[in-house]
This record gives sequence, C-alpha cells and structure tokens, in this order.
Amino acid sequence: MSRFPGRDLLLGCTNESAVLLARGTSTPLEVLASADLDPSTHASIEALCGLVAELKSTKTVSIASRSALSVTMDDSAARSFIVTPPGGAQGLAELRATVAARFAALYGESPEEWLLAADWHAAAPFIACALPRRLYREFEDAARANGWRLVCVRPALVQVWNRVCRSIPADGWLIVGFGKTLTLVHTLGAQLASLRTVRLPEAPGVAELVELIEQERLRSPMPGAQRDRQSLLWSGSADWLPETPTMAGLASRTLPLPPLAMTFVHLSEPCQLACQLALAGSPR
Amino acid sequence: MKPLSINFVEDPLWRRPVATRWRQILIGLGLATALAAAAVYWQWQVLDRELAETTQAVALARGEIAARTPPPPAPLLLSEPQIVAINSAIDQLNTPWPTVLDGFERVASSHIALLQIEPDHRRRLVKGVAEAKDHQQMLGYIAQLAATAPFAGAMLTRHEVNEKDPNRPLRFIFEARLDGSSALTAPDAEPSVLMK
Repeated sequence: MSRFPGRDLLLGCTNESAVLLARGTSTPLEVLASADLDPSTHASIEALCGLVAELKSTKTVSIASRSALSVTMDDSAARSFIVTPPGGAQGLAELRATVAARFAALYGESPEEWLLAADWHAAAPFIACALPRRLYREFEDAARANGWRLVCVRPALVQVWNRVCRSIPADGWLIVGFGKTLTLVHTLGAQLASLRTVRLPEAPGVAELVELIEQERLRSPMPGAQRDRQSLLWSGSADWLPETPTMAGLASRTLPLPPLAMTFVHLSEPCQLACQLALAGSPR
Repeated sequence: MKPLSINFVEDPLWRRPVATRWRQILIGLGLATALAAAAVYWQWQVLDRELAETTQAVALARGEIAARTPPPPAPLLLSEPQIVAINSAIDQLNTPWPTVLDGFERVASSHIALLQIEPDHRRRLVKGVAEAKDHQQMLGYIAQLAATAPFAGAMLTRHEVNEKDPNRPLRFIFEARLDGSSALTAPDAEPSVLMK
C-alpha cells in the first residue's frame, strides 16, 4: 500500500516550459519538476518533447505508483478547430474521416502524425483537437517510466470550457487566456460557430482587447436583435483578463481560474504559465 | 453549454459511455448468456466428475464381487449316446411299479403262475412270462389282464408246452401295454424286477 495516497499529478506544458505538480487532499501543492527552454532556443514541438523527456527522471519518492497524471497543453501547443459534420453522417468512422480532412484543409499537413480527438457530434458542429503523436508518446513514456497512470491529456481550452460550461453564453464568445495565448470560441444559438487561437506578441491592454472583439464581431455580422443578445465570457489565468462589465458594447463577465500561490514566484515566467495550465487540469 | 468530452487518452472499453439502450440490452443479454453458460459448464463439470467417480466405484465393486465369487462350473457337455442312456435310466426309474404290481395282483389266480415281468419303458409296456394248465386259462388270463388297470391292453406273443415239467404246463410270453396316466407317475421305482 502506498504511503502517500490521494496525490494527483498535474503536468502543464507550453511551447517553452513544462511543470509537474503534485496535489493531494491533505498535502500542499508541490512542484515535482520544472523545465524551460533556453531563451535563445527556438520553441518547437521537438523542444517541448525534449522538456517532457526530462520528466522521466523525476524524483518521485513521495509519489505512489499508479498515481493519476493529467496533462494540460497550452492552446498554442495543440490545435483546436470547429468541424461541421456532413449531412446524414453515420458512424464514428465517417466523423473521424471528416475531422482528418478538415485538419488537412486548415493546416495543410497530413493528419497521420497528429492525434485527433473531438467532442463527436453527428448533427451539429463540434470542437476537434489535434496533438502531435510524438508529443503524446513522450507523455506516455514519462508516465510509464515512473509507474503513473496517464488519465487525461487536454488543451487548456477544453479544461477551461469544462470548468465554466454552465456560464458560456449561447450567443457570444468564450475567450480563454493563458500567458500570451488567447482562444476565442464563438457560439451562435447555443451552437459552435467558430474557433480561433491567437498568439499575442505581448500582454494586451483593454484597448487591444476591445479592438480584437470588434474584429471578431465583424467576422460574423449579426442582425440587430441577435447582436443585442451576444455577450462575452473571459476565463483563464492570464493577468490581462478584463474586469469590465461591458466591452465593445457587449456584456462581459470574467471567471478567472484561481491565481498561483506565492510559493511559485521563484519559478521563471514560462514555468509559472505552465503551473497555471497544470492547475487548470486539476479537479475542482 | 455542455461539457466537452475531449481527451487524447482513450478511456478503456469498460469506461466508455454506452450509446444506446439497445446496446445496454445487448450487453445485458450477453452477460446473462455468459453467466448461464458458465453455470451450465460448471454443472456439467460437476456431473461429469460424479459420473467418473460412480463409474470407478462400480468398477471397484465389480472387481470385489468377482474376487469373492468362485468361478462358475464348466458346463456339462454330454454326448448323444450318454443323453439317451440317462433318459433311458430315468424312464426306467420312473416305472410305476406299485400300480403295475397291483394290476398283476388283481388278476392273479391259482391256475396261472406268473414267472417273470420286465418293463419296456421305450415301448411303454410290460413283458411277462407265465404258465397255465391249458389254453383256455391262458387266454382268460390275457383277456383279464387287458381289462385291468393300469393296462390298456395285453397281447400273447408266444406260447409253448414246458416239457421239462412233469405236469407239462403251457408256458406263454405276453406283453401288457400301460395306459398313459400310470406311465407318468412313479413314486417308487426300481430299474427292473425279476420274479420266479
């Protein structure tokens, strides 16, 4: 029997950093391992795979074997997109083929090297996500090397969506912000309309966010009555999430994730972002 | 909005949501069938084991019985002449002597001397030798004998005068046929009787 029961492992990954946290019911949050890229190194999937590979040698004396490992990816490290199922689609295989074709059309790459997962729906648009297979294998190898159970690998968008799904407006936008990554999900009549991930050059101010929202509204013009029903929901851990009740003429609401404790201030900025992502994957 | 069921880690089969009620019913039926098959198989195994044990016990009991039982005697094989001889002896022993002798006693008189009687079981008759003073007495004796039980008839087969005897009696040989009822019962029997 384990001497340390009830500790879950949370792994947060960005393109530049990876942090492994241990969280228990009676023990404080603990950083088991952290790694980030040298600023001179170009961020890439290969570099991220190297960071995850470093976790294989994590000192896990205090972690019981068979502990559950949940991984949360930054939205810029995974790819998320909307897929509209073909009319009369029958069977999961047909939907899988549709998602693969959509991925190839959007990104111009073969989906062979990507792991595809989706919130499968045969009659309504649904969200699909893609993760490099090589990166997923690194997660599996790290878990196997330490005797952990890999139970969950999700992008930040999915983790945040599942946390705030009751508050997502049926007409409007869910905007998820982590670090300098911002993901916008447009809903229309309680259905998905569009999804876009934006990599920001720097932390945006309110003016930039207003401009961004207005651009989004221009992308999908609505009749006046529908425009009035639209609203915004902001979530994530970015410190630039607005607190204003209205933005760009729309009702706005912010549901930020819990902030990091002061014990993590010694970590580098990319590692703090990875910590925020890891915490987004923890059970509430 | 509903939660998203997106996870790159595929759930094991037993944790995946069951899509339809029909699939649930099919899974239930499959489980019930599997349980029933397992129960039948288990019961079959038990019966098979009991049958094997019983067969073994029966074989052991048979062996013990065979060990305790002496070997059966070899069948008595007789040749045809032996069988004929045995049957002849049995028939001879079955001759109803008391009835036959009673019949002779009833027809006995002072004019007839019965010298010898001998049964011929094969022909179901009694041969006799007697002496009379004359032919009239001889024929009367034969007629009387034929009408007396247990005889169904009598026949004179030979007669001659006994010259050796100074009275010169008439010696005759006869055959008295036995009736069916007296020939079947023989409470006391001897192979043959010779009277002089």
